Amino acid sequence: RSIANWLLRRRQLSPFGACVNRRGGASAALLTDESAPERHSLDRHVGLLYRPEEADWQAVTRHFCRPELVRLFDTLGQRALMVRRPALEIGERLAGHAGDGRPCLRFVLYGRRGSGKSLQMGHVAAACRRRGWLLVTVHNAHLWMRHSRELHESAHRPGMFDTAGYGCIWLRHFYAMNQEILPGLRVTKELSWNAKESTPAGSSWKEVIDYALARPRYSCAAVQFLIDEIKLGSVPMPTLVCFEVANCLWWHRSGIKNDAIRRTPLQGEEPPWRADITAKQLTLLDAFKQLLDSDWNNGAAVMSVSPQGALFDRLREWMPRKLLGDEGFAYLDPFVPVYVEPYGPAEMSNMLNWYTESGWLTSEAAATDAGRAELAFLSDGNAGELLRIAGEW
Amino acid sequence: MSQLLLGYASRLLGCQSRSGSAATTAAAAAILSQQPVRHKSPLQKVRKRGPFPEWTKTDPDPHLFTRHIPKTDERRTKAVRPPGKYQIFSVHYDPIVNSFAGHFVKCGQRDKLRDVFTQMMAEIKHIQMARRNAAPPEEKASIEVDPTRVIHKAVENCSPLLIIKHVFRGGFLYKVPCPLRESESQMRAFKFLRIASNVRGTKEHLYRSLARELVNASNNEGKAVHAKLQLHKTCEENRAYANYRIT
Repeated sequence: RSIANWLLRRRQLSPFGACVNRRGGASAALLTDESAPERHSLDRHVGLLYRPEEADWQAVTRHFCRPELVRLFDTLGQRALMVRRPALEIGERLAGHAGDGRPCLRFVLYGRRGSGKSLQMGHVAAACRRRGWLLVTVHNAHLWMRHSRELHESAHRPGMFDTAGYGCIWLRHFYAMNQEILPGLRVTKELSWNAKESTPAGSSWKEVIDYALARPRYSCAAVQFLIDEIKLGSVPMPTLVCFEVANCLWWHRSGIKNDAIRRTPLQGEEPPWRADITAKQLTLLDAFKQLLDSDWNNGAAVMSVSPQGALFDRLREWMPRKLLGDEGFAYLDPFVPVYVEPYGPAEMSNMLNWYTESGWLTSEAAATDAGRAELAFLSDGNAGELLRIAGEW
Repeated sequence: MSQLLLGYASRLLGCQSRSGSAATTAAAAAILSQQPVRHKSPLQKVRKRGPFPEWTKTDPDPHLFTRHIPKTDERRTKAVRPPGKYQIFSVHYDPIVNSFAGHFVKCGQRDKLRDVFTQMMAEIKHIQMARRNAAPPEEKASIEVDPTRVIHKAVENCSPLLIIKHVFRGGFLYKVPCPLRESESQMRAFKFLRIASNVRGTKEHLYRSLARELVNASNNEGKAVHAKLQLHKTCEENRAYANYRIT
């Protein structure tokens, strides 16, 4: 018997009706009143939407969202994010992790492009911030490697290169994210910027950041000094490191060229064959890579791997082993891999209900069963694809 | 009916008599008055020239490929045009948006354009929703947010009723206002919109400029509608030559 007959017997209107729950068109979206991410629990809140609080959104979650999503929330005038299993599992593990001299716990989020890895990281970061952790988040490492901004040879790490512009941007972002915690933090060592200038031990972290913002040449050195402080254990509260697209740290290509070094040409390349300055030679990225090591205590690292980190190479792979390569995998091993899966039928149904309710899906077809089944099929459960396609409907 | 034909008919019927009685004559006449019998496939008799109607799928039929289609059903023999390459049988398909997309295709890269159009329709929503949020309560209902309806309105506002055709007569070139077919008028509208949304260099993405132009056209503003009004004005100026029309 054909598949169509089987579906007819199961009373489904279309072959793709199984991808989305709840027949009978759109219904009310399921929202939870719990706006605090650290209070979401696996047995009650999975698959529901929550409205992030204004302070959390502005300080933390906004940076983990795509610009399209931020713009959508601005246009609709309301924000709703989905509570999903990966973030809650990581959050549960991190809740009891602080202190006790345990080494840095590393999680690697992986999944197809658009499946929602960054937003899961944002949920974990917001929860940890509310618990009082220090947040160190890097969102644009793969973009820093595509274009160089004020590149010059490093003084504090000879043989490597500083990107002063990105250092300044990151310090400002770091300060805005941890404004409540930073006044209480002090450096334990004397920081010497050059032969003449230094900041004494016991000065606050804000002074270090202000100095680096006033003297951009030393912004990468400031980042290195602060990271050294974190690894020494001078920070009283636990630290969460969030690194998006971590696999770019071990990638062999980049958009920054070094004229002084020649290398063998790649296939189909025209001379001059200048060497790429990879993450190994960039002080800013190397500093964050040190934080992803497991030789420090009282903290955790959550990172994601994505084909976007494979610069100048359109990979179709999305598994950590392939994207990290030998070197990256050996560096991060052992880590906890966390799979961010596509939307299930209940999640897809809830998301479509919310899009319809908030008014983003304006077509009449989007409220019908056939339309919803089609949206579920076209996006294949991928959250980012659904966001993109829903703009048309 | 000639006597000769009647004779043939009577022989076909197997009648012995040659003179032809009234019954055989009547029967022969009946046979000859029928359509000639074709011994080829039954589809032969419906093959005809001319523009065929489009196939319309009014109700989604889940049993289309499972239920046996009876021989007398018109679906077996109805002469219809096959559906177009991009005519998708989806609840969201819109023929005008589809033709509009086809108008922008360059070098056959329609897949690339699909992304542009998805972004463009989202951009229309952003523009209109921002406008609706800022509008006073009495105007909110009149602002159309659905991008498909905005495109329909924009194309309608940009469609010219008359067009100038150049006629060379007696050594002079006259600009003659002529009526348009509906499809041609629609094409002109697409062209006005496309040229109006052209932005020099890489200042702006196509989806942004096109969305802005469509929203303006749906409100009877902007360069595309202006182009249409200019065309109408030229037709009005040259209305004396309307009788020089060739068609």
